[in-house]
Amino acid sequence: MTITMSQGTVHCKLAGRDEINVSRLFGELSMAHKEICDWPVDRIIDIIDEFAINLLDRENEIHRIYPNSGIPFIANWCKKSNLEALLDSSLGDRYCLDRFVDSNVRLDRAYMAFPCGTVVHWMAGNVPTLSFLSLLQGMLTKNVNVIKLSSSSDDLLFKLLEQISCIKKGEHQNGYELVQSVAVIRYDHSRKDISDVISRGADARVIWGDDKSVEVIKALPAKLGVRDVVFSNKTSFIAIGKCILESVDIQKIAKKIATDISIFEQKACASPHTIFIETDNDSELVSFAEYLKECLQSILKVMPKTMPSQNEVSAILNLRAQYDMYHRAWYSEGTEFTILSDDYIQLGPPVGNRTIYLRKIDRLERLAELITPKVQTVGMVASYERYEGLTALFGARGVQRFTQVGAMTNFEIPWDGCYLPQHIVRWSSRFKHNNTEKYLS
Amino acid sequence: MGFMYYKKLDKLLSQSIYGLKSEDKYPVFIDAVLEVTRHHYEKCKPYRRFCEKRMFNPDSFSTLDDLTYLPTSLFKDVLLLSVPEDEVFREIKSSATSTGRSSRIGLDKETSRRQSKCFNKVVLDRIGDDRREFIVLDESSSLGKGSVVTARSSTIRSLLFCSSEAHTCIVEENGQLRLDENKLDTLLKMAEKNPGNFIIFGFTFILYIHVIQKLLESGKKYELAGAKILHIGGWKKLESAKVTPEKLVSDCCEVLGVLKEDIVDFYGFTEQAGLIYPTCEEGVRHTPVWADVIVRDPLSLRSLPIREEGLLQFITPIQTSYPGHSVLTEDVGYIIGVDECSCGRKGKTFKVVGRAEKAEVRGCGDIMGDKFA
Repeated sequence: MTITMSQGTVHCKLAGRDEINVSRLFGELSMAHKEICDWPVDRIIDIIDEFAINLLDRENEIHRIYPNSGIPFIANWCKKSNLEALLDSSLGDRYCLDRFVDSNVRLDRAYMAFPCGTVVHWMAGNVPTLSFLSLLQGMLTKNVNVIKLSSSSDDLLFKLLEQISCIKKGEHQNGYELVQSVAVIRYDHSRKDISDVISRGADARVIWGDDKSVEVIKALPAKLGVRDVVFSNKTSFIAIGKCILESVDIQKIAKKIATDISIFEQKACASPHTIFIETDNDSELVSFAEYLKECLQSILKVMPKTMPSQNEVSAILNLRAQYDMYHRAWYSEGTEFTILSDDYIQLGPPVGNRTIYLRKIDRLERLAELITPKVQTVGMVASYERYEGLTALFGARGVQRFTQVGAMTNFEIPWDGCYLPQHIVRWSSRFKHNNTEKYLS
Repeated sequence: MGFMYYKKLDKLLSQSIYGLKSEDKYPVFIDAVLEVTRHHYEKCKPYRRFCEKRMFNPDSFSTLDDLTYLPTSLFKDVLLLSVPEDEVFREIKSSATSTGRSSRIGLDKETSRRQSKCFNKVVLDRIGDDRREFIVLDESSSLGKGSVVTARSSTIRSLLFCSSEAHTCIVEENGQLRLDENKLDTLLKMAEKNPGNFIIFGFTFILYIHVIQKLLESGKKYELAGAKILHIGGWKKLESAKVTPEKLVSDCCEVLGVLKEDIVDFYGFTEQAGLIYPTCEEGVRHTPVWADVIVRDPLSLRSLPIREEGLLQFITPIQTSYPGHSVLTEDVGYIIGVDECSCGRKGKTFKVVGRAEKAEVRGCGDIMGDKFA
């Protein structure tokens, strides 16, 4: 058995007593980390911003090697303006990561956010991009970061870290030093002994995965005060309000929805699996389905479909057959995309691989019955009045995000209703010292 | 209700199993497929709707490539019948797999009879006509009968038609299966006296892990040259134990002293029960005259040329009680050639490379393996 580890850009394959090597790795990360704690947060932002600029360069070989991995999205997400907004909105003021910052509320107190220590990000499959965005938040908050990738994941994350390590901003405090406090680990899931060591070393565990994986990870031995931030299975849908399809450009809407369906092959929590159209007019649904089919077909040119597995093909063909027999379906010649329509009022179930349920509903408000905190994102196409009412209603039931269609999978903070940076810092507060007064009253 | 008469199908079934060259086989085969497809189209409403949505009409298809196919997983969700329900006298259920769903196949007497006939012919072609004693690597209750049968016991029972006697050597204790090593030893010693009169039959995983591997560990060896080993289903667990088909063959030869060409690996699946594809003396599988295989690309679903890997689609007209005449499996494989195997049998030769991950991946032997203490 071999595990692949990377600290910074150095890959190493270790065999034999892996758990000891992993323990040693934690020690080395801590050493690298001591220096980074003293860096100004703006330096980290500057490094990542320059990395973003390089990443946006279409000549960058990473676009060729990983053509459908959301590289442009990662690059835009890493821009200075976004990172500053991310930290300011999460922590109130990003400079609290550098020093005690006076509170606007408690005028006699000041606050500082220290790194919580070692953040382990458990990535159980899903969308590779998320592992990087999760990691960045750990880096921005000056933590030691360990990423446990699934054994079947590709090398995208290693490549991205390699590019950060090449960023040079001055004599000291450059990309190379920054990535020294990051380790990426990949090993077979059967190696519980290694999982135990990693889990025991964590001050915070950020867990991305399905419910079953989350349960397994949470059951691993851990420090008494470990903080768990869980991003588990979620589902998302699109709601299209009454008369909208008559009043707006239906093709434009269909095109945006086709984008939401095609990104990440619907593996993201924010990917829609169901579209509800508020109508009692069957021909309206059929005509929308046909527009959507055209758009899903044309988007294949810019977002080619990845090869589905045997069982995914079987699931797709099974549904197509059932819907041809008992309901309605529109689909591509191959297994590229599938639109299924029936009379049920339910979410999904999620199939993935660009498979979407298209359902009629008399009143969108009825969808509230279906909503649980497991619903992450709702793509909304509705008039302002309906939008106000529906977002309040659905939000109260558990929906965590409302977006326009076409932007559903754009990662933003809060995600799953959670500001991640808040959970991976340790707050310290102090009284405001006034030099002119006695310090003891 | 009397038996329906399928003239073209009957003509096909009267042909030599592996004797026809492609140019002679396909006109007869396509005629029979067309006849049976028309029957399903007329008698099975959901199947007809499926065809109509795909603008497929049995009267207008020209090549087998055009014939619509159903995914095997569909039979786990829908019971499709092309005969009245009261004519179904037996349901075959596949092994309940990790999906928790098993296929439901409704058989009328005519289909069942036809399936048995085809199955028997293929088996006899491979192992010879003589009745022999079977050493079955299973428990005695698997030899029993019932109106709903598991695929596992159905497979065992269907093979016993060519047995003169059947012995079992696995016992069930508190819901767990255990190999009775003493009994196996006694049976194998008995077989050594006249190996040509014996067939050892078991599910692949049980055969290797619970018999061959144990014999390897114990150092026991037998002289069974002339005996045959038949095994079926469940490579998944052996794959994870890094046991290849080649290793299984060489280890069987080593401990049991059987000849390489006498080890036969059967491939088949519940959705087309009755069709069985044994490995020939050269280690590859052949399509009999009443079946054809097409390999499809998982993304484009287009048929692939010889030697390119894809999903296996099987076509056969032998089922008339349900539209299982053209199914796309979750198994990956490739076609090796046509009419050119040196074993002398005609037909397409193919290899099954792997069964699907996660889904209906486990054969009966794998399920049975879970029950071993």
